[in-house]
Amino acid sequence: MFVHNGIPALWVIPALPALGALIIFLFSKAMSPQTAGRIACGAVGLCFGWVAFCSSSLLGLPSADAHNAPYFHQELWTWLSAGIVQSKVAFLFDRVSMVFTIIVSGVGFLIHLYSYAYMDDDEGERRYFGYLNLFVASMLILVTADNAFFMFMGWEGVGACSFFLIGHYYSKSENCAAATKAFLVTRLGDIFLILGLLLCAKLVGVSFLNLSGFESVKEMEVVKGGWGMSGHALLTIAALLLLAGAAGKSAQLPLQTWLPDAMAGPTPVSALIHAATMVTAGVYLIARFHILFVASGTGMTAVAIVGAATAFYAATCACVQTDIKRILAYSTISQIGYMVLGLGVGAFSLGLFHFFTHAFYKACLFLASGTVIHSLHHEQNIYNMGGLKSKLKGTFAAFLLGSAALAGFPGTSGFFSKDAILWSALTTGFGNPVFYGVGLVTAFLTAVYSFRLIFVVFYGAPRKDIHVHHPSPLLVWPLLVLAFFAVTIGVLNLPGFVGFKSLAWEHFFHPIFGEFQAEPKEGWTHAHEAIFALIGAAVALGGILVSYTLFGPNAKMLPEPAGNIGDVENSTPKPYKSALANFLFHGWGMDQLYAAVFVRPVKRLSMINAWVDKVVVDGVYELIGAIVRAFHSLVVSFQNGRVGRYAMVMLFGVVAVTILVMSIIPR
Amino acid sequence: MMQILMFYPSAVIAVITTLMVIFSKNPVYAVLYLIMSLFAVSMVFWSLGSPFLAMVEIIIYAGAIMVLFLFVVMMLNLGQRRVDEDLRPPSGKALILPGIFATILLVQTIACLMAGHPQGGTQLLNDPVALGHAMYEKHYLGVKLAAIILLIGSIGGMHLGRAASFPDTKEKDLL
Amino acid sequence: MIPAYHALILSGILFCIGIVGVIARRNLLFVLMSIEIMMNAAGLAFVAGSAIHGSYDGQIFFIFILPVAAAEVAIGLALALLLYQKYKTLDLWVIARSKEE
Repeated sequence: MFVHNGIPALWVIPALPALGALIIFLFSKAMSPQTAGRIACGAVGLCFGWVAFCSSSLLGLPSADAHNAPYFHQELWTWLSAGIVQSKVAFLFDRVSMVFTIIVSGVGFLIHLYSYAYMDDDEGERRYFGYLNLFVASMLILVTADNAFFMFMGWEGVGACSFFLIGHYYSKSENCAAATKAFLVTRLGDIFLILGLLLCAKLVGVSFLNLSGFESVKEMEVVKGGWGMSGHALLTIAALLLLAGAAGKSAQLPLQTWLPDAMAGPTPVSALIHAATMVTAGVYLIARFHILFVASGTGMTAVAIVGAATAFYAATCACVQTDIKRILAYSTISQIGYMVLGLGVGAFSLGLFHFFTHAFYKACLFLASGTVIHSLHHEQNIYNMGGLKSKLKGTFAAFLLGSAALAGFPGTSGFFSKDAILWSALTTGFGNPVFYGVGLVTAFLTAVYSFRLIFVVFYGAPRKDIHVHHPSPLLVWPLLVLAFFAVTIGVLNLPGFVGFKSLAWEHFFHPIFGEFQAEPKEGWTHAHEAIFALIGAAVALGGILVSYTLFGPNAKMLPEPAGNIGDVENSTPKPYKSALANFLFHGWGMDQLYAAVFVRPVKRLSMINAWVDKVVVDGVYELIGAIVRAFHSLVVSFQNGRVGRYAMVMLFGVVAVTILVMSIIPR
Repeated sequence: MMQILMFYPSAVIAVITTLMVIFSKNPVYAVLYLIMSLFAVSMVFWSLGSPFLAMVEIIIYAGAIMVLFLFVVMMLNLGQRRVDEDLRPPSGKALILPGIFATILLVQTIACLMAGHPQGGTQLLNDPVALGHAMYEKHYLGVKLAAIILLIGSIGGMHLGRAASFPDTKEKDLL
Repeated sequence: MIPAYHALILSGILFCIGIVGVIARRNLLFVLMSIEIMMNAAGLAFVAGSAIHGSYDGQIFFIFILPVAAAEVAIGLALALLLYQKYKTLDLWVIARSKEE
């Protein structure tokens, strides 16, 4: 049942956490919170074991040539069959799915263990673990589905779980508002996504298996035009629609505003959903549909522009935030921007590689910040922390390693993955120096803000008298595991100039992306690559140095705060003296802009609509009601409960029928 | 000739006394008028040629059923009560619509009868033995049905009457 | 000889008077009596029909009407007693109104 002809049963992967969620939700009344936590951890742990088994089976298959990547495929039943919408409940486990399932189940397992300790005193723990398991199940469906419509089911499932978990502390209204905002903004992206999927289904089909539908895209004339547009224009539209869907889920410009607010959820949720897995679904989507984007050309440019702009935008915002989780949230947006940039310049496998490394170090950073927050009794403002280095030693070590990876400190995983993307952004056919320049500036900013965290939180003197209570071991050692991988996982794809096992990751994915993976143009050599790697390393180190001078223990606080910086909240209108800093603090005023451009007009429109509804639409129905009531009052006089009246009505009927009969029957 | 002399006066008396039933104030008088009306109808039966049916009418209708009425009226003591609204003879307003409809119905009936020119003898067959044979041979099923109806009526009357004689009985015990 | 349809007309007149009584009277006893009038009129019509057709069938049906009327009166009067005990009146309008409350 579980292994058939050497193919492991793929449905088991999402089924295990789904079963965990089912058990928790069905019997939550009967079980203690600890039991729920154990069931959830056990389900995801088993799932990780099964994923590891599947992965080793996949890797054990005979190695493939350039065009035929090994894969497992399992078809269960037909789910939808309606015209162009053809979808089967079927699973595909190839190398892309493998990477994603390993991250989702492996990092997910560590975060589950962490949550077990973190949520210990929370009254909603059972609900929390139920949704967390459901999230993992949905995410696994998303990354193992063999066609886009089945994937869309998982896509919506993770969106719903994200909504539930952001609103976990639902007693505070701003948390509910944040959850609703996240839901609505991602839903906006999903509308574009489903439109794009339908268009794709019409043009080429949406099956991922062998990219069957997409093979035809290579010959452009196969795609028929329609609606007065050429096939190529339609492909571009489809690509842009998919990009909009990916932007909604992955918090890319211009739909990025929900992610910083999504930090209202519990910190492990931020680590799992809003850093490591769900927000990278857009990356997965673009990687899956890479042929479409390459065929469109314009689509690739759009992806690259969105990625570069987002990376830069979010990095600038992260530099002035005061909330530790918000800094990490902006950093996540920025890092996903890097991934999208990597995809947009044709370096698909490098985009996935950055996803892979990012999942480790960002999960590590989020969990470490969770430990800090937990130890400081839910204090999140970094300017109320300080001097924690000696008090939280393990956490500090993990945080330092994670930040180093995030900043791209030479030798860490972040350095290799980011540098490879920057190199591709400069050298491939889709790249150009502008993307490289923006990426480099962003890398510098990344180093600055990540070490700003380190210096403000862990160095210096404590700024506020908060008792630091000791975190339990379960709150520390998952961080160290993640930190270990964050530092070392870069060896999977050493740059080309190293010469030893270099580009292993790219070669691994070569059968999948094949000729669509963009290679450096003629004239760029390993020597150039080494020079640009040195430049990258210098920028990272320079950023750390700048960060030390600006935010180090002896530095004056920059930018200058307008009031007591410790009291600053996310909604504070002007926390700094500098207007630029305030502008960046509020995410370039995007929220206010959207409120002015979209929210308020819609509200006004709905008020008009409500008035029309009340007066005109309701008026029609009230009129109908009045007519009916008039007839009713005419008829109701026969039904007054007096026998005599009934008898008279009967008599009237008899008389009427008799007259009728007499007038019809001929004499 | 004797029959004609009996029929038309009896018919007139029947109509008048029946009208008196409808319009009388006192239930006791009304019952007595009704008995008179039934007597008149039994005279009609006699004039049509069936003394047997006339006897049956008097004994069962006037003798049994109407006496039952009289008992109940006396039991309720309605006659001695001051005249309530519901005992007043119906006013003109209450009579207009039913009067009109009833008149139309009557005119229609008469018109039908006149138009049809019903033929046939007016002499009733008058042999109680033959009647009994016809009833028990040809209509035995009807006899049984009538018996069942009577049985059900007596059971229902007993049941309701028991509740009426023990006012403490709750309604749910009745139904 | 009397034309048989004169008896039929008489029965029609009695029946219509009974109908008016049922509709116009407010007291349950009078309504019951009016119903008796109507039944009696129906019986008269059966007997007249028997005379016209020259058979016993009409007379037999008149005899069947008698137990029906007796059963109806038995139950009707028992109900009247019950209603009187509950509402202290036999006014149908008053009873209908008290039921609504």
